[in-house]
Formats: sequence, C-alpha cells, structure tokens
Amino acid sequence: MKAEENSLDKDISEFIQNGNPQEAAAPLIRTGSSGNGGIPMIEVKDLKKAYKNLDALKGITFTVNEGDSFGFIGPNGAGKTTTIRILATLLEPSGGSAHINGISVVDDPEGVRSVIGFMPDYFGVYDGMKVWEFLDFFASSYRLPTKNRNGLISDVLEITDLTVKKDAFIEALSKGMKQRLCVAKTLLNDPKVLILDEPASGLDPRARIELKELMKELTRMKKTVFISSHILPELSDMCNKIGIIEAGNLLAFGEVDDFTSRVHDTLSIRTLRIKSLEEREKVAEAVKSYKNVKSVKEENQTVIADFHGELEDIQVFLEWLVNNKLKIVEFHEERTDLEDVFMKITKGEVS
Amino acid sequence: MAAIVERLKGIKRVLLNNPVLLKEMRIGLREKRVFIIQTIYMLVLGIVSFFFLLDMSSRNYAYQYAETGRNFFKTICIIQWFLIVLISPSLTSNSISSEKEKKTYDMLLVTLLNAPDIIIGKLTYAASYLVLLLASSLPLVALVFFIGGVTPLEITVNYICLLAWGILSASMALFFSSREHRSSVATSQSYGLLILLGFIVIGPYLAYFWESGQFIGYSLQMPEVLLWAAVYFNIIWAFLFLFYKTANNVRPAARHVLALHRLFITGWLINIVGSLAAILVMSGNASTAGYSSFPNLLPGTTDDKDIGVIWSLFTVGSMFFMGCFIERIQFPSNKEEAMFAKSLTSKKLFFPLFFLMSGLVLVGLFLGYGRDAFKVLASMGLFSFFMIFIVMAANEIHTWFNGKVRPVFIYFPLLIAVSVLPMFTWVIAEQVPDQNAYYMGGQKVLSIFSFIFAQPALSIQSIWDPSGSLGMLAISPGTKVPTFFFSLVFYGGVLLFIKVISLLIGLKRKMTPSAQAAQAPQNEVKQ
Repeated sequence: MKAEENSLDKDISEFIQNGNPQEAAAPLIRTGSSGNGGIPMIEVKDLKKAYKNLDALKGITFTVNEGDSFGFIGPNGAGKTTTIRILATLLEPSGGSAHINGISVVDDPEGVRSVIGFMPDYFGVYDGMKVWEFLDFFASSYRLPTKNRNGLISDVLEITDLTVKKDAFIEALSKGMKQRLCVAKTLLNDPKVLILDEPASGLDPRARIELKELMKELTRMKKTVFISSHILPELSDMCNKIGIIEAGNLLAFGEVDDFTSRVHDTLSIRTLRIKSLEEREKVAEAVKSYKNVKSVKEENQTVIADFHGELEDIQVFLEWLVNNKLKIVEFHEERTDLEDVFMKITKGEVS
Repeated sequence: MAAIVERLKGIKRVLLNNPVLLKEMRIGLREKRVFIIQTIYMLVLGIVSFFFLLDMSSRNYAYQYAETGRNFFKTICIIQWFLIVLISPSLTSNSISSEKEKKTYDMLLVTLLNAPDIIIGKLTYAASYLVLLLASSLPLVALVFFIGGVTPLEITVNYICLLAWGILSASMALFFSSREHRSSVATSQSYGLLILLGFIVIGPYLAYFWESGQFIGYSLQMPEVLLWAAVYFNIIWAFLFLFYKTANNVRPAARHVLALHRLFITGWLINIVGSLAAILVMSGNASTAGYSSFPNLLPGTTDDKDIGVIWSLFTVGSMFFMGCFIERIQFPSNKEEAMFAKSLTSKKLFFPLFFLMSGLVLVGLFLGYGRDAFKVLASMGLFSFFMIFIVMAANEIHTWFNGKVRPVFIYFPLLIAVSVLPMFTWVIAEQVPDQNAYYMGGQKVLSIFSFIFAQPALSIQSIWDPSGSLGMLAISPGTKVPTFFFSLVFYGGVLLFIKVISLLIGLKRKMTPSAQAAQAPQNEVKQ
C-alpha cells in the first residue's frame, strides 16, 4: 500500500517535472494558458513581495480572462492573501507588475479601485448600522449618484437574497448573511473584477451552498471572479480556472477540466465506486483480485477501488463483475478530486 | 478659474456630502455613551452655576452683580475648556484604529474615498458633537445676561475658541488613531501627549484667560501684533500638520508629504518672525514706556518680560516639528514617487541646509537680543531631554517584559515619577523660610538631591520665569556648578543603568533557548 502511494507520488512528480522543468518561478503545470481567447482581465507578471526577512511572493505569473472564475488555492501562509492585497491596491509589490482591466495596480490605484470589488479574508461590518445604511455608505463611497442608490441597493440585496433584511441591524445577521452582505457591498460599483479572499471560510454547509449559488449567479453576470481558498472542493465547483500556490511560488495554473483530465490521462488512475447487495468483504476481495485494481478501500456499503487503465478497461472490469454475479447496484467513476492533485503537488511548505 | 471652481466643488462635496460623516453620525449617535457624556457635562456645569446663583443672592449692588456675572462666565468657560479638550480625543482616538480592529479598514480603503474625505468626515462628526455639547450649555451661560457683565460678542468669540480647541484636540487623537493598530494604544498616546502639553500650556494659558476674560488675545500695536499673529499661525499650523500627517497615514501620497514640507518651511519662517517680535517685546525696545499687551501672568515676572506666551509659541511649533522626522515616507505608486522626486524639497540636503540656516539666524537673534530668551530656549531643550528620557526609559523597560505589559503602564508611572514627584521636593524646599537654609550643615546634601530630582520641574519653572532664583542656571548648593548639570548626569546615569539591565536580560534570553536545546537531546536519550 505504502509502496503504491510512493509510486503514485513518483508518477505525479515526473509528470510535473516534464511540464516545465526549466523555470522554477513559472507554473509547473500549464494548460491552455489563454483559454477561450477572451480579453485578459487580470494580468500578473513576475509579481514579487518581500518583507523584512521573508519572501512572501517569489515571482508569480498568470492571466485571468474576462468572464473567468479563477480559484486561487494554497495552504495557509502560501502567499494568497499577499497576492490579493496587491491586486486590491492595499499593498505595494516589491517587484513585477499587476494589471487589472489594463490598469496598473502600482501606477493608478484609484483607477483599479473603481473596477474591482474586494472582499477581505477577515472582514468586519459596522455595528449599530442597518443593512441598507451599510450599503448606502459604500454606494456613496463609490461616488454613485444619490438618485440611483436606492434602486441599486435593492438590486444587490435581491442578488444576494437579503431583501427581507433590508431594515435589520447588521449585528442581528448570521455569519452567512454577513458574508452575503459583504458580497452585496462588492457588487455596488458594478465591478468588472470581483476579488474574494476566502469567502466561504467559517460558514456552515447551508451558507456555503448559498454562497456557491451566488458565485454561479455572478459568473452568469459575466463578472470575472477571483476567489482564494484553502478548501478545494468548494473551488472545483465554482471555478473554471485554478492556480495552486505554495511558499510564494505558483506551482500550477490552468483550466479545471484540463487539469484533472490531464492528471487522469498521464496517471491513468481512476477511482471507482462499487456498491453491491453482497457482503462487502466478499466484493472487496473479488475486486482486489482483479489485475487492474491497485488498491481497495471499504466504506459503509461501498467499495472504492483505485483502477489503473483506460475507459475500455473499466468496461471490461464491469462486465467481469457482472459475470461474477456480485449483485452490483451501483458502479461509477469518481472524478479525481482536485484535492488529491493539490495534495500531491504541494508539499506542505509555508514560505 | 475653472480650477478654483473645481476646488470649491470638492470642498462642498467633502463637507456637505460626506459618506464618512453620515456613517459616523448613524453609528455614533446610536451609542449610549453620547447621552452619558452629555448628561455628565451638563451636570458639572449645572452644579457650578447653582453655586454662582447662591453667591449672587448675597450681593447687593449692580457692580457686584456684574463681577459675579463675569466670574461665572469665566468659570463656566474654563470648565468647558477642560471638558472639551478631554472629551474630544475620546471621540476620534478610536475612529480609525477601531476600523482596523473590526477589519473594516480594508473595505474602506478600496473605495474611492480619498484621505481628506475620511479625515474631514471623522473630524466633522467630532466637531458636530462638540457643537451639540456647547449649544446645550448656552442656556446656562445665558444666565449671564440676567446678571450682567459679559457681552454677547465675548460669548460668541470664546465659544468659537472652545470649538477650535476641541477640533485641535480631536485631530491630534485622530492622528494617533491613524498611526496605531489598537485603539487602546491610540487613546493612551493621545491622552499622554495631552497631559504632557498640559503640564506647560494650561498654567499660563488659563491665567491669561482669567486676566483678560478672552481665550484669544490680540493687539494692534507693533510688534505685539506680529507675536499674536505667530501664535494664531502656530495653532492653525498644528491643525494642518496633523491633518496632512493623518492623511499620509491613511493613504500615503506625495502631495501630502509635499504639503508637509511646505508647511515646515512656512512654519519656520513665520516662527522666526514671531521670535523676533517676542525678543523685541521682551527687551522692551519697541514697546513704549514698558507697555505690553501681555498681562502679568505669574508672580515674579515683570510686566513686559512675560515669557508664557512666547513660550507657548515655541512649544506648539517645536512639538510638531519634532514629528516630522519620526515618520517614514512611503508611496504606493510609481507616479507618486516620480512626483515626489521632482520637487525641490525632496532633495536630500534641502532640509538640513534650511534648518541650519534658519537655526543660525535664530541663535544669532537670541544671543544678540535676549539673554532671557536664550535661557527659555535652553530650558525648553532641557525639558525636552527629560521627556525623551521618559520615552527612552519606558521603551527600554518595555522590552524587559517581552511585550507582555502595555507600554502605557510603564510610561505613565515614569512620567508621574519624573514630573510630579520632584515637584513635591520642590514644594518642600520652598517651605524652608530662608534661602540660605540650603547651604546649612545637614540640610546641604538633601538640598542637592532635591534640586536634582526637581530639575524637570525647575526647567518648566525657568521657562516661565527665566530670571527667577530657582531657574535652570541656579548654582547647586555647596558647589559652583549649575544644578541642571548634576541632573543631566543623574538621569543619564539612570538611563545607562536601565540600558545595562536590558542588555543583561537580552543576554539571558539568548542563553535560555540554547540551554533548552542542550537539554532536549538528553531527554531523548533517557526515553
């Protein structure tokens, strides 16, 4: 079992190495860099940030196009928030460049501020204020004309599903609602780019799903969304592009689908879930005896097998199972989770 | 022309359509604190008025009524001055730092609000609350019309002054608030500076008010008019200084720093003119027959050699001048950097040369015209030394505790020890009837020590009264050396001692982890 994992590690590391062995600073995996050929919205080139005795960013490069939703993943302390704060004009880079909608973050921070909506990782709300007053404050902070404000506030409340709470005091809202209120605030100035730093952290599953729906809604509105997180599954559903950062280096960058499928193709490791009416142990043993199966895990009534092979092999395997009269009621391939890829690529280093 | 119109529109927007002001009002006026402060404010004033009414009932003649009325108004004003100056920092000292604590600051900074929007919004909120307080005290003050002795113009002028003091105090607290990440630190710093300034300002300033019944004075005679102009200029200057400093803390920008540079240049030039006027007033050359618009403020000083006002002119200037070099300059954008580099004042040698030249002029003037003025300057230098001593000692002691103790708890006891306690030794020494008692037998040693400890207080004393017997140039009993020399040696020694202790502690800390590391493998072996 352990040896197998090691071989898997080796496979992936070879695969990563072959991707781009020369440049250490450049992403190791690059898939379809320009995507569908849209207009580049966020352009980051060799971005560096050094603190006194710490290099938070060691030169990262990526481009996010208009309408993309980009997931920025990395363990805590990898440099996600630093990147985001630079993009939000709250921090100045020590090297490299970052442009949003073609405007330089360093040269024209005011210009950048008017096209972005930003939600920090830890954000607060003003106590003693009503929801609409909070939004009104930010609307006037963006110099939006007074006569449009009421309609605009109703609109963003509608999008974030907070209309009923318009006259409530903010401190009476739940955390998920506050999070959505904060997203509503970022939408006020009709930004082209939304930068959300860990929007789903600390939320219960229900609030998380609501937020996910909200994100999908935003993508439908053709906004470019930039989300960071250290929790992968939530990003794999929301994003079409992801970047993995660790210790200040961008390890991988590309389209989510390409990403997982290329990992699949190269490694040909697929996870199969098999549910049967037979006794679990019996099924597990039978599955394990099959030549393409590398390892088997048991979970409740299901058997999870790591399968080595192409689609045709799976079909043969299924036939074999049926022929063995194992009373199969469920048989499907599980998409390789981004989490696995992430775990293999990152090493747990913190810059 | 168009630029001026734009500018006016900008000012209108900042003042009348300011989102930050609206937000502060919505949040601030919903708090209970607002009502509690106002209740206490009115209670204090109400009790004082009550006693004055009692006093009035015992008077029989109209002129006595007028006197009571005048005293009543002055007392109410002085109490309000204290209350306003103490309350206004509490309105602003947490207003930016609490945004940082509550994590709303980042969201505020990514909006299109610029620094003046934010600062003026917060200051206007503080000012509007002060207006509320002052307006609520007007019915009480209106009793004066019933008693007599004070004109409506006087009331108006003094109320405007009170508001101005409140705004100045609030902007000082806002400056600390924009610098610090924790409200508690910002609050303690702003009250700390207030107390420091208060040690020197309150005496002469309030004495002047009591003499004249006005918070601000003026004279139309030369050279006093110059001196008064310099005083007003310094107050406005201090406000502008704090404004741009705060603005640069909120959003670092070249235009803020360049504005600060311009402020320093004009400030220094005008202070030199003010000093010249001060010297002329003091030396009595220009004022005919010893006349001066400055009343005799403190016992022991002569009519036309009153230093109090001149001194206040210098402190306001020098206090804030010091802040210039403490803050580092940083700009977020290349555009700002380029704009800054273009200006003449950004050149490295500009300010050293400027200060050297203007300093030489100033020293020349002092040496040439005013021996007393020179003493005042030296006393201020000495006083600054004691203040720096407190700050340095507090910083050193703070490192002893590994940051576990708040700096305030070290700073204030030290401040009290150095400034207040020696005053008592001085008071005790004053009780000795004969000055010669200092020189006698067993008393001698005690006297030297009391002089040494009392030096911080004495240096203030000699700012007010440069020719007094207890001035900084007083010779220590039994020696031919000025007392301040012993004092410098003593406090310098204390600082050195503190430094040695912190070095020892640092050494011990360096040893400890390695000692632990040496022990760790042994434990492993045992297991």
